[in-house]
Amino acid sequence: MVGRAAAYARAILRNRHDAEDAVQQAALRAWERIDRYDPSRPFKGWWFAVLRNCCIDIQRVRQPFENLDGQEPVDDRSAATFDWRGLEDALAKLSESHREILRLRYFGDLSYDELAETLDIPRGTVMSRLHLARKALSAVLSKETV
Amino acid sequence: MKPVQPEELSALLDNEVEPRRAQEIQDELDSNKVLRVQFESLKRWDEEFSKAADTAVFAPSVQLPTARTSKVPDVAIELMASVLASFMMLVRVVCKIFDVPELTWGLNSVAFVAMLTATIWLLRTTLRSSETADAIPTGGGS
Repeated sequence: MVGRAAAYARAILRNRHDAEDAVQQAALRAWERIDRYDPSRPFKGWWFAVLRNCCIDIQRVRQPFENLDGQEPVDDRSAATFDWRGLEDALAKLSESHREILRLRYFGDLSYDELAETLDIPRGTVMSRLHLARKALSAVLSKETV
Repeated sequence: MKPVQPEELSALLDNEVEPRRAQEIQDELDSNKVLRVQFESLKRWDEEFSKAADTAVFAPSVQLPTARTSKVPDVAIELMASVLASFMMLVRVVCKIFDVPELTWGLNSVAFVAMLTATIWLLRTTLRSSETADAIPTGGGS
């Protein structure tokens, strides 16, 4: 679960070090606020909601500075034709709500119930929004490959 | 059978459809070529997205504060222990001074019940704190 959390934070912050900071902050915040967690609801959904807020906080602080995207060393895996950066570049062309649900689904590997918990929306809305988001993303990538 | 909604294709892909409905959709996919093409396209993209997202996974080092064994502050525990010890001593002294068997029996019973209640309460608080600590993710892969 932490590996997925790291992937999600990395996609938002586009930097491994910031992603690591975000996960660390989120773990501490979750630790402090564990009494606010309702055990009848999916833990992963709650945990990702905490992480998402931490990523937003880090992003807000970082915004006035330069984009750190290029600072992460490019390893063999990221040299593949379509890696997480390519996916994130395509996601950047979508609306915020579509981008968010796709990030959580693919980077975070959240189920529909967990997505509903993190985004605070009904399960039915998760289903329709995710479908539309997928279609929008495939349309963006189809245009790029033509 | 209810017509297949486009979003149900996505849900089928994610294994988020009830088994009975999944079977209905599967039957429809077998007989409806247009729907099958849509589903195959969704599936292809989904595999691409998943593979790409997997390349972002890494194991961060996450450090959490040392787990406390109890939510009760140490000072409160020490205070409670000293109050109970004082109470027990008082019981002994009072019993010695007055030398009344009924009083001795009564005061010792009260002291015993108070001690037992305090012990159970401390044990329950400690166990609850340990369970809470276990719920926190502490590292490792997905």
